[in-house]
Amino acid sequence: MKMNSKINNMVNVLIISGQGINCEQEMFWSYKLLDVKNLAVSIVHINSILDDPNIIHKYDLINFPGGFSFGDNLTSGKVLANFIKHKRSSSRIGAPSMLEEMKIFIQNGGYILGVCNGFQMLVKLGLLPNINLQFEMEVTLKENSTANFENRWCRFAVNTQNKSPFFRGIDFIELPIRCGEGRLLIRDGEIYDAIISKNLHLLQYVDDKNQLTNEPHLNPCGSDLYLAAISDISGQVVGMMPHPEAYLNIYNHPNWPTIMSDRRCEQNGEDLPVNGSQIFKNIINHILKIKS
Amino acid sequence: MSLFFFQIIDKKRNKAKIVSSRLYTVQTNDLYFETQQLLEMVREIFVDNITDQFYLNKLDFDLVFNRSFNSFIEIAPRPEVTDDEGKIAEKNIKEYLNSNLNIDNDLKVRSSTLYAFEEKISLELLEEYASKYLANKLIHHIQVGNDIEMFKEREHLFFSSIDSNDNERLRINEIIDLSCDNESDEKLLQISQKYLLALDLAEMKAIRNYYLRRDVADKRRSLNLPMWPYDIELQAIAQTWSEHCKHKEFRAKIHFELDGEKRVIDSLFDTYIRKATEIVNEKVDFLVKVFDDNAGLVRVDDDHYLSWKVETHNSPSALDPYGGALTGILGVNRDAVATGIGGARPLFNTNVLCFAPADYAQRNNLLPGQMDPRRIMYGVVKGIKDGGNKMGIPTVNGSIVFDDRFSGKPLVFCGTAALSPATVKDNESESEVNTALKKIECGDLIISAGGRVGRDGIHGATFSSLGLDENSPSSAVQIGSPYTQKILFDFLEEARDRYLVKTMTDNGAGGLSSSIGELAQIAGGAEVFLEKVLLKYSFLKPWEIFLSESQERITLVVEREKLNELQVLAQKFQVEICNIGQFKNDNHLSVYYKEKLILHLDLEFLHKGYPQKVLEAIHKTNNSEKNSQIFDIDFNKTTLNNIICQLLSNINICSREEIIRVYDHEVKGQTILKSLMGGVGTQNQFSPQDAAVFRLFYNSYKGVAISNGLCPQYAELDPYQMSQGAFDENIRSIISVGGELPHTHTHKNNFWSVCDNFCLPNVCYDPQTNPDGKEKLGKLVQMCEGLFDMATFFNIPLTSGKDSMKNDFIYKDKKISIPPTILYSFVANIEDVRRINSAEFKVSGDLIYLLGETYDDELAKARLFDLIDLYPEIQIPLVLPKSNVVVPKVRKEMALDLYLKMMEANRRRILNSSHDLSDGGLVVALAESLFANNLGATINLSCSNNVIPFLFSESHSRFLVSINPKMKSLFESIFDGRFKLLGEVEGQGQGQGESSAKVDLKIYNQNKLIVEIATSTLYSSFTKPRFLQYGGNE
Repeated sequence: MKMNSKINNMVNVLIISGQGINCEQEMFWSYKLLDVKNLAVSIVHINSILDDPNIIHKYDLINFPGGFSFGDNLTSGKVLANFIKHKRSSSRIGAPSMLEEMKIFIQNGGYILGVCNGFQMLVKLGLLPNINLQFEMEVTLKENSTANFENRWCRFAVNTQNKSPFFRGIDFIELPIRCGEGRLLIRDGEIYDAIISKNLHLLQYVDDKNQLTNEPHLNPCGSDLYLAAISDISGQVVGMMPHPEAYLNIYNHPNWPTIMSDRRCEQNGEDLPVNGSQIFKNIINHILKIKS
Repeated sequence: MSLFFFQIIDKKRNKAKIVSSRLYTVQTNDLYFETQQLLEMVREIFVDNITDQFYLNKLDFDLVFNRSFNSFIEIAPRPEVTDDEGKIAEKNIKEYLNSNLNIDNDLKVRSSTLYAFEEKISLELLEEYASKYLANKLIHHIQVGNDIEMFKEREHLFFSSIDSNDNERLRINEIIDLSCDNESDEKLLQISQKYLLALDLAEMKAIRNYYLRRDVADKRRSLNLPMWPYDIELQAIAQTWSEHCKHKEFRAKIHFELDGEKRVIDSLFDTYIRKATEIVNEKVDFLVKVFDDNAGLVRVDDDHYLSWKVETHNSPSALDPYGGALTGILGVNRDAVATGIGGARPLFNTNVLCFAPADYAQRNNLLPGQMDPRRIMYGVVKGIKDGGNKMGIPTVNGSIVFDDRFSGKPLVFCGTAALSPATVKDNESESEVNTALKKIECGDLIISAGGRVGRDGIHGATFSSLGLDENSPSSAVQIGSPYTQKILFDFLEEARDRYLVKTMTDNGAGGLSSSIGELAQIAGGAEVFLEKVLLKYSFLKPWEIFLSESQERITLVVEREKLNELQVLAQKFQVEICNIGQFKNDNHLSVYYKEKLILHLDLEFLHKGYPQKVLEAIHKTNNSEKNSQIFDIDFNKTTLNNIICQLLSNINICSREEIIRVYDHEVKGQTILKSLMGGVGTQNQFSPQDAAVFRLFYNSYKGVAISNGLCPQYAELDPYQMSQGAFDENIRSIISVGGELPHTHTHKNNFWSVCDNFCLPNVCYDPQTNPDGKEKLGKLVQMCEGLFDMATFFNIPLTSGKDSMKNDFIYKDKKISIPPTILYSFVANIEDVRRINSAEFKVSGDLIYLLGETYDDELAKARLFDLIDLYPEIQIPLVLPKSNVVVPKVRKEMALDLYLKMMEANRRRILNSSHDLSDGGLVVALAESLFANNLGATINLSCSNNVIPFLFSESHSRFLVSINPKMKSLFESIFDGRFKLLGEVEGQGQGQGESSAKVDLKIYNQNKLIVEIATSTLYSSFTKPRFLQYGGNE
């Protein structure tokens, strides 16, 4: 696979900020704390990229972090998607939009991760799941079934058949969701079937017996197919509602004092539950492997 | 001008009998569009093709839902009120037209919501429903009708159309004659009232005397100014002198009589608050800046400062709960960010709310102008939610207190902490600049950054200094825009990093008049050109521009040579900035409008010219007798079980989960101890915690603990102990999670930073309107003494604070006054967040101890009594003689001894859990500790006749802890007689069957089983009340 970045053996990670995006710092540190030598992480303001979208090709991985881009007005992620789709650089006549550059970026083998508001944006941009390759909305993210913003830790099953490298080696993971519009609705039966047959469903809400669930306190969003994350067909573009960057280590988990006290008292030697940083480690290792 | 509008209907969302749609109305400058172009644009920008149907210049519901709708309500923000949705739509349409059609048009967009009902409902009913559940007339325009066609009329949504014919608007720069005549006193007070100045006679006379001064009169003549003030001058003085800005009552001279003994207190603030911090400062090493900036500043380590500020936003929240709370949070964000040179990064928010209970309106007739407390709560929570969530600032903790008297005014306390580097590099001079400083030189520019100025929020500062009544002014209400502020903060942080701004200050109460007035003091003068201020719409009078409290604005101080670079940066962030004047050294504030000087005020007079208030205060110490023989009552087990469950459902005790979960409390990924802790899964039980713990950096484990403490229920009986109790509640919360008292000096910069917030009813005695004013002020004096004694004893500094006076609601001869309330909000250093305690029991077999002493008679105002007071229908056979009990008392030496022992235990990592005891006493703390891990406990007591006080007393300075039995002897040697072994944590056993899953709380007294309740029952009681259910509100 061909990668974008010119410098070999170096992974260049881009994190988008600005216009109400607000999780760029923890996203930055999620990569930074991996302690990988050949890794460069940059936070770049969305306005700078919209002015010169060509710069995304310097990177191997683009992250759209969570937040409230444009204050969630005109529904979540929509205005940012509109800007990425429509805005053209004022400096060059006929310059391509950021969306057009992103299409090339994906063709070139680049990876894109959208979390929460970033996911909402990718969906409204038509990049996810993009089964028909028409860059149209095939799914949408609407108001939670609980009708409220909800900050709650949930348990997710990973579809191990999914192509994307982000969740490789993980079967189940607990992560926080923090959203008001996390209910994934699928356009029609054709898309629904394609998501299943092509294994684009990536994370689904489960209970502690690992059964799929729509119980409001286990799955406050109430998505079709219990969905919390999906990928495109290539597996290069991934969108997820829960926040892996908010689970940097065990001390972010809402029950860590108990988990750690067990260890302190009994030293039972069990591994700590898998945390969000594994996802970032996976993608960086994957890109490094391709490049070496 | 031409108009078009479109309606967007989410087909999937609306299945009920009431449906809604979003409407956008666009006003353009004579621009012609092909219909096809417009349809394409709307489809691209606004429509979700999976769920939405839309119409252009047409309104319809019947076709979409295939049934007929016959009644309609449209809710739109009033033209002068912030419309974030419309503003963003405007931005997006402009961008689209520019990029795709090469059209540059100064169009305007207003958003609104159109609701439809199947039934044909009368206009009166629709109007009533709309104003009760959907809108607030102060900020919304409501239109109702039975014919959808009438809603096509849309001009009224825009500001210019309602105002261009208003001749009154054109009368600018009025001169206000303060000259003496026979009825001069009366006349001065009339002027104060007419212009909403909220100044008393002495203050009005001081103003008149200023203008009569020979030097002033001469100067004014030479500058071609009239002898008497222009309206803008009088307004600026009133804002600057408002209680809100100058804290005149905290600086008043008070003749105080305590139990018959008289003395004079010259300024409560200087005598108690400032003095306490000065004393503490001699023993601690971390105070950087206190009292004289927007927030208190402490040193975290050699390279960082932490600013911390908690403020009230009571009056705005009483009028419009959502807007009031939202601007409360956004406003306090700006205070924390704009401290020192400013541009600090906000870390977390806190919120403390006081309301009348949800059933208040059912039990009482609301007075005209009074709002249903459920509606207030719903709106306030939504405002705090949007303010925090949309800014990406976690709301890490909070507190809610219910009391009928808060129907007089809800209390809304909002707090923010922000982190800044201790120095930044000035590339120009190659020097390091201390970020704590606010340095301004003559010639530096005044730059206004952020939102534009409108007529919203005029008179906020003076209005909040008055009591509420049914005619309170609507101009004081405003809506915030978190999006605008987030962008502004991103910009400020980078401007700070590059030292493009020398300093900044928030435009809060009083608007430019306050922010520039304050900064001018540092520089020694300033001149402002009001026509340069960017406006939302024309037709603003000069004084309105100067005073408007339009949100999301910061005043920057910029060196002339850095302006260009700052402008480039502002453009990148799409933040509007404008140069509106410069600092001078003539000791005057001068304001020009279109080249005409309209304000010229001596800074000395402006900031210090008001006469000191003289007030009277009385207090009598309440000495109730102690009686230890009063609790000899034998409850049977069923009754006691019932009491405990009712207590857990008490609104002042029950779970706040419903609210906590709508607040994003862990964005940034730095929240280590969350308000609720517990596992993920079907069990769904969580234990509330004593304090939040927040990690400061991603690459180290240094952190802070954040706590709140208030107990207004004690105010009437013993304001001194109330103040001490609230202070102690904070200390014990911080100690419980693992903080160390500041003076113990185990490490450098062991910072503690405290905000004090006083909320009081009117404390100025008046024989007619406020006959008990002296007693109320006496309580305030007592509260201040409590503060001083605690702060100096424990060496904990007050770093910032605020007071909110006149929290009364007045209707004709009726007055509802809030209880005198003091809130302390603490942040304290946590050296390593991995070593803290959480409240929940961890594992079966652990031993449970009570630390500290329980006093049998400390049951006054105990939550136990709320059961009878609030729910007489429960008929719990409680016959406790309430008159013989006292308010819990803080025994400082005893408390300190226990806290030092706790610190020792924490250092040795002995505790498996720790929970402080507060509302509801021991039984509530026990229940709460069981929830997270769904554990049980068996407690063995040996109380003779005082088991009830032992279980329910709210004595201070106590902890409920659990330890591994292996630690027993070490634990008991550390706590040396200050502990009581209560029992043991019990688990679900080894079996996995359904029966073994049942765990419970069992309490034996003298070997008799007196309490037995399943943990799941305790939890369902704890989570029973619902807070956010209010009518049809969204």
